[in-house]
Amino acid sequence: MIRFTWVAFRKGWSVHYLQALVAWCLLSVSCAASAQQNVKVVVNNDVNVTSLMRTEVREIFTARKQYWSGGSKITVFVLDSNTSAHQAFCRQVLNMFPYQLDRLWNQIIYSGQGERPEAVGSESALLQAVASTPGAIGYIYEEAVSVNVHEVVIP
Amino acid sequence: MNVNAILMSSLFLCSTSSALAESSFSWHGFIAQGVNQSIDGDFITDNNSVNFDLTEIGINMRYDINSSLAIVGQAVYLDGGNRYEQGERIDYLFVDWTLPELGSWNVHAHLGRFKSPHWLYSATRDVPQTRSTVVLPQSIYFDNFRDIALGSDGILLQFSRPADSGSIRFNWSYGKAPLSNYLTKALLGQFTQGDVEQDFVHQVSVFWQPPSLNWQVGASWLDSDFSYNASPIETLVDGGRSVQLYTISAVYFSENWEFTTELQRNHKRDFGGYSPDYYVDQHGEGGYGQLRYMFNSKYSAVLRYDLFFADRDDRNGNALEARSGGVIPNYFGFMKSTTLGFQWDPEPNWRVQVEHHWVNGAGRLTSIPSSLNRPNTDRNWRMWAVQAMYWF
Repeated sequence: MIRFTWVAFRKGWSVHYLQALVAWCLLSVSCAASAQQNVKVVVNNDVNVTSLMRTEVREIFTARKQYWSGGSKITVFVLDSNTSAHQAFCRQVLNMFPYQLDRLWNQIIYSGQGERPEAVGSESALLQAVASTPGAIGYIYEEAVSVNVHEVVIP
Repeated sequence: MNVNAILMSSLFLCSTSSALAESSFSWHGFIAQGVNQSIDGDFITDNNSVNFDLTEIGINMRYDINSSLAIVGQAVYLDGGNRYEQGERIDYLFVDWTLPELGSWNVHAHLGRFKSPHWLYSATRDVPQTRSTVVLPQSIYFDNFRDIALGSDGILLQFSRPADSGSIRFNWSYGKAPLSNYLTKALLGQFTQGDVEQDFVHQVSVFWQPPSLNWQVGASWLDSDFSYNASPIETLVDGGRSVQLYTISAVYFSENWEFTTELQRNHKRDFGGYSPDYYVDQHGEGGYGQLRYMFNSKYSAVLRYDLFFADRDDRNGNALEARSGGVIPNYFGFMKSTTLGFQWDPEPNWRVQVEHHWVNGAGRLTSIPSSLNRPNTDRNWRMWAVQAMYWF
């Protein structure tokens, strides 16, 4: 009797587990897809770039590419590292965990290889910073593209 | 090439650059202070004393002359107990020259006192907040060799090809590093009167990351020669050392944990020095495995096992003891360490690192026993350290 109950319990648990797993996967995929869809990489209007490969975006946000092809300095703005938007950006666009990005920044800055991106507290502040800084780049999820800023397409 | 020459050439580049309008200057720094104790060993300090010989203060700067030329440097003050010489030094000072792209390869040349990028922690071992622990695994990052392993005076070329199909980075360097009196005495004994000189160090390394970026593999090779120029008033004679290091590494990154490993084999040939006929040909090996678990963004724990054998044909050190006529105990031929550490980041740019090391053997200590220098390290010894650090 006990054995039967235990088997039944295990079967039941397995079914629930599978259902939960499938639901979680679907949710993850839909969240990732929607976040991916919502993210907008934006640059100051003086940057003559309308699309960037994903690798180029990664090179810029990891401070390995520091100048636009025309020779002007790139200034990178990010949201505070504890915000969910920054963490989503790391995972979905840069394809790395936030701690990997933090570590890369530390390695690059303290080897004299580049400058840490400037962190701001909100998307509106980030948009304002990108709009007022020549050569600037950043990302937004919720805000709409504003004056003196344009979106860069990531194919 | 000395630091003055590097500085002069840097200033020349500054003054002759025609694109100063694009120039920019940035600087950063760190300050770290710790408390530690070596128990039954003299790795950091002697006599089992609790002490504060764990200070690291550094300032680095980068001056972009234009989009392809920059001057980069760092000055530090260090107090690491017995591990290396106390005092200030220029860790690196070089011209960072971004060369035109070679196909899809980015190319950088570093001219001057460059930082070694050939091992996982070699370029950042001088920066407290970038290390996994206060004391790195000594099999690879022997603190006694900190200054010569951190970088060299010469040239470094870096080739990288970032791509959606995976990233590859290739480094080549050639140069030499100045050796202090302190290091000469640490290598050959307290009463040495001559000078050790590094003739050259030649290194190559390659690292690869797949598109997912959640793991990385690497391999490196080092070849270096050292000369000993004896003083006429001592019993030592001229001699030298030739060493080759072969290292492989792997890192796996996960959401809450990461695993890091580096394995190294060395081939060392010593000749002269102690007597004109002295010759030792040894193959040593070592490496570590390190697991870090991140509880959240503020707390993490690290567990590491590190292993080193000076001679892989003499793993228990008995031949070493016999060769030295019993002066050097056999446990100076190996070192096996287990480390448990915790990291706490209470605020942005602040960290507290706590760790304990349990060690069997003394193969990676600064003080080498001789007829004039009795070892203070037992076969089994321990050390602990707590270090607080701030960076800006």
